[in-house]
Amino acid sequence: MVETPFIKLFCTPNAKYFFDVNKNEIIPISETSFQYLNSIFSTNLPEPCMPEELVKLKGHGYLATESAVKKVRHVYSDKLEILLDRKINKITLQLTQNCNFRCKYCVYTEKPNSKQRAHSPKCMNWETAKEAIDFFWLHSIDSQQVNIGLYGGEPLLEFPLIKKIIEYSEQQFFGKKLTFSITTNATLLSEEMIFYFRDHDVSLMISLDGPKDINDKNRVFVNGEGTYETVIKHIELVKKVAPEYYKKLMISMVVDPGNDFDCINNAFVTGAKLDTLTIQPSGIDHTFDGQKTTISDDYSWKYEYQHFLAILSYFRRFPENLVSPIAMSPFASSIIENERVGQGAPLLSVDAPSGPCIPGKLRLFIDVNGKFYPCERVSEKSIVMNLGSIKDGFNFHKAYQIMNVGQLTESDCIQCWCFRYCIQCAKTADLESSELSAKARLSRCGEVRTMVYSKLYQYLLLNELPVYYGNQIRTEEEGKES
Amino acid sequence: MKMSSALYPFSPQLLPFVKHFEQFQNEYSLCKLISLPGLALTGFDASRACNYPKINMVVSDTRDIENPGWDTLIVTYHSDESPVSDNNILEIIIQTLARGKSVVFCDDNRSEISRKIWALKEQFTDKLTINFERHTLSEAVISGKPYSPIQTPIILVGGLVECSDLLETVLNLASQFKMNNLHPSIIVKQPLGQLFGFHTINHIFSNPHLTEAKKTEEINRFVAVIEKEETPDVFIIEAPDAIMRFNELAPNGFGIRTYMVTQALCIDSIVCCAPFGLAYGSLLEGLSKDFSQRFGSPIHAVQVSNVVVDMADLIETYKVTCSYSDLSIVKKHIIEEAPNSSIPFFDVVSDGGEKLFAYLCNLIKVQNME
Repeated sequence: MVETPFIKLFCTPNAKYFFDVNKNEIIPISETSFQYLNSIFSTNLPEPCMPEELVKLKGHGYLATESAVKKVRHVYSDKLEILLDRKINKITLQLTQNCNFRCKYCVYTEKPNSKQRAHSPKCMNWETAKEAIDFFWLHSIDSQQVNIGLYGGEPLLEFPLIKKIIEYSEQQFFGKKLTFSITTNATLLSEEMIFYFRDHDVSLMISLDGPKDINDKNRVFVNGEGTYETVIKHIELVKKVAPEYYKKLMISMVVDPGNDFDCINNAFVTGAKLDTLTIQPSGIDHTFDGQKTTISDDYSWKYEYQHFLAILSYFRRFPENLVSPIAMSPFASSIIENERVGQGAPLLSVDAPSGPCIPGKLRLFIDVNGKFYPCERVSEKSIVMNLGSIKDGFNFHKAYQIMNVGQLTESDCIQCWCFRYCIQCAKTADLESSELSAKARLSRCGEVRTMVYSKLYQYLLLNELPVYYGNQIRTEEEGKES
Repeated sequence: MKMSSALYPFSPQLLPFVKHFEQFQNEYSLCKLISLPGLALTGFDASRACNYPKINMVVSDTRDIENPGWDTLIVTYHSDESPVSDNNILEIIIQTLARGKSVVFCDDNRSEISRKIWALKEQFTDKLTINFERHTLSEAVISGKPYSPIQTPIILVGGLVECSDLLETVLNLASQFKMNNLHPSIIVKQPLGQLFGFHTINHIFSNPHLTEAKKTEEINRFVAVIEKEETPDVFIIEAPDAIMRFNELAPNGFGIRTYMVTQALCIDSIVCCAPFGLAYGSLLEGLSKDFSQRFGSPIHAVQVSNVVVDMADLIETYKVTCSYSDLSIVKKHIIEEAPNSSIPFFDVVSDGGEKLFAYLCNLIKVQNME
């Protein structure tokens, strides 16, 4: 019996490959070799003789039948305390738990939702904010650049606090590159605020889900009225009073794929009100409400078409400004990620699946009470995600557990071809008990593997295009002419 | 009598100078370290900058300009690394001079700020001193030959990443040579070195009128001039950049400048500063073979550094950034890993460079006998 190699096969319209998991390399192979390997994974019996190409590769250490990983442990486990003590890059302050919106998909909504806190009038007081900044100052000595994110609820409800935070931080961090960012619904933006944010170089991320009919389905004021007109009015105010600052605004868009793609996209097509702004699309977060995402046919095929146009624009066969930013933005991110494919090290005997961050280092979230969480996306009701507090400092044991979430599913992870490309962080294993759940984590593996497969498949296709269709790819100059 | 002085702007890169301040010059005593608040050093012992053992010198902020406890402000400016803007430097210098205190400005001779400070010197002739590399390009020409062999042994101290360990190693070695009545000539990156009689080749690298080949020739001539003037027993050179590409994501300067130095000069010995996470015999032995070909010398000794490369940051920013671990981790690592390496491991921060000095002296002696 032929042993199964620790690989994943890929077959594009142009070529055949195997991804050697241990070596973290994608190897092009002949049709014969591909058929041979494929037969090992299927019920067909493989040819008695291994093709010479594969024999050679095997001789060079490829096609091993066992995972190189023997134990799951994050490579920074021993350095966790140092990094949290000296090299935090960003904090996000929850200025308030209150909001003047009641978005229907909001994770903080008051509807029965035991997994996340609900809107409340609680606000961060100045003492807590100051202590948080001082904590950050003390724990970022080795960070060359630092960022303070201001978050809510709706953070603009606390504008006087925002000013105090910014001015105090500028004093404290003088001599280090410091940036600020605010995520807001923009409906409370005044001229005073706009000028203040402009003068202090605050990056504004405004939440808006598309044109009026789409946006107002979900994004409503407390009284249930739609918010689109008010948001647009305030964005236009920025454009009028601070045109240069306006160009830096970013739109955070929660995409509901149950809608028709074109309807969502209409807000951002050339000539529309928001066509020049940077769009950051994301899906609805159903982690806490347990609902399933439904995708309409009109969303699905139109998105795929726009994705196709994004690829064409990458090779200068189609003007980039005519591609939907909803498709362009993730495509552009994938291009950046593609640069990292194959760059990671081969698997080590002690290694950890990708996915978890170094909790607290990348974007430490500090709630109104001064409690720590790895980021703003986790449940504030979670016991296991509470990383400590300003008063007590970091709970390193919990941080260790979060970054080593792969230990829960060690035997499965060691055998998984996605080990280096996994995108599951500890949030997926959090059921708000005092321990992370292996079962919850494993329940997401199929979805992750599908996503990683698509990502690597696209990586291969994009690499192939210049080889197989070189004549049809335009240079930068030719692209301009077109 | 030494003049009491303060140093500005104090940063982790300057910590080795602070530790060795009294050893290398007799003119100034260091009373204050002044830093910017953002560096998170103010109010703490200066050793916090690199997580080293305490040196009993607390860092203060710019309000200390008012302090009557010192007379001279030593200002150092390295355009690649300065945490402060030109305007801030100028402002502090003007404020200090306005209070009747003296200023010593250590310049890397390639910045816009130099021009402004030279202009200021016309106004404050007695109070403002400007230190810069004594050997300029035209003075460095000692013969018509493009290349002069250097007879003095040369030790190159280079790092897999750029960090303060390099300078710490250079200064510890220099200190050991001095204590043993030997005379080293030192080349470092920081302009503050000029205060100690050290040299810098920054001005050669930053000269826009020289090709890379001419710069390499110029480095050779520059060192030849120093050899002739100072007749040192040894040259200790701090590598001008990280000695090699870190990985595909972070080219880290490709080690180009270090390569130019090794083409300009025949290196007798390389001391490699390696973060403890990379200090493994098999890795360093592989690199040593490569360096033998590329730089003309293998790695003779490894300074195991407490630096931790932040890979999470590297993946996000494509830059090599570091943090500093506790030195106990370095000690533990050396105990565990040194037996597995044919290249000896050292910890100059803990032992002051004594062991490394003894080892290198022996090595250079043996090489010279050969």
